[in-house]
Amino acid sequence: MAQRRFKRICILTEALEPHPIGATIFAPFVATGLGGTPDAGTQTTEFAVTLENIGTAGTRTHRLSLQWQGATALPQPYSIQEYVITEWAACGIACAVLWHYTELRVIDTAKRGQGFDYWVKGETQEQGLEVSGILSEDAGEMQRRHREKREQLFSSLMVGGYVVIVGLARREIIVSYHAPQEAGR
Amino acid sequence: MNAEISIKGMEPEWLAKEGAKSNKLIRARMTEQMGDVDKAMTLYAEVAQEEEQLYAYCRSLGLIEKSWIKAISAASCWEAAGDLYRALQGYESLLNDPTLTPRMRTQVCDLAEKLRERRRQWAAFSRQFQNEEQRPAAEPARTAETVAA
Repeated sequence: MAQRRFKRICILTEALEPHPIGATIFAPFVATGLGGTPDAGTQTTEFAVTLENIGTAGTRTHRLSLQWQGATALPQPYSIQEYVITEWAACGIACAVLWHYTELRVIDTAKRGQGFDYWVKGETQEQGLEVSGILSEDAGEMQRRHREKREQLFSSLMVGGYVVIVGLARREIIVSYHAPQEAGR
Repeated sequence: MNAEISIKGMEPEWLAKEGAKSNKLIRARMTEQMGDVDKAMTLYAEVAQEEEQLYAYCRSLGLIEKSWIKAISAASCWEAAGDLYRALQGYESLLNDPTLTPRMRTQVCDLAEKLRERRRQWAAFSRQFQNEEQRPAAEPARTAETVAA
């Protein structure tokens, strides 16, 4: 199977727009989580993206430039805790990269504790999307969290789907696909 | 349940409704995390009602597994909205569905039991709160006059 070539630049607003859940709501958190301030203009952040079973079987890496608007950042001073910003920033980046690499849309929110956070629309069926944001600089933490979230994806419904881990400080993202048949492996 | 959830036959209008409902749920969660609990609970209650409509629609299309997910989501939103009675009714009504798979039945039973436990905790807290309110005020501080007398 020929490897699909992916664009190197992802424009945040354009990649959030197609999601029926109204994913543009995450844009201020992405801008704030990436260190933006409302007085900043167009910003670009480079991410190292690891793709597992996305577009083709196996693992590969991709350099991605995420373009976002500083003006969308939360006005300062804001009284929102760091973990809240990380959580919603990760959701925004996850929606954007999912669209960028798979052209899949996030169509529904999942119940808390259902094993994953969102539902993604395929042709005629839905699958899960589990998202996690990390502030730590520790490289091992990305892999640890990925293993944990993959387990969690199958903890309730055996529908399979996607796991996206966003390392905000490390500027690193892992995007992986897990077929329903992986459950129990 | 060991396969994808079918959405076959869902009309664009209902898919859009589902998207709008999800956006409202995200706003409810954000609002709650930012400390505006009253507004968040109102939004959760609205989402719960919309999930119930989606449940009925999915059921009418024969999308049974999706309808279960809608019913569970509706119940959890009632719970988040503070209406534990209605949340429990939602789980109990789902448990009366004879087509529920054994795995799903186990999950719903667990959710219902956790909710009952939460309701017991709420009742205990409520009693404690009432007792605090009814406790006679502490001995009034003596004024200069009473001390002099």
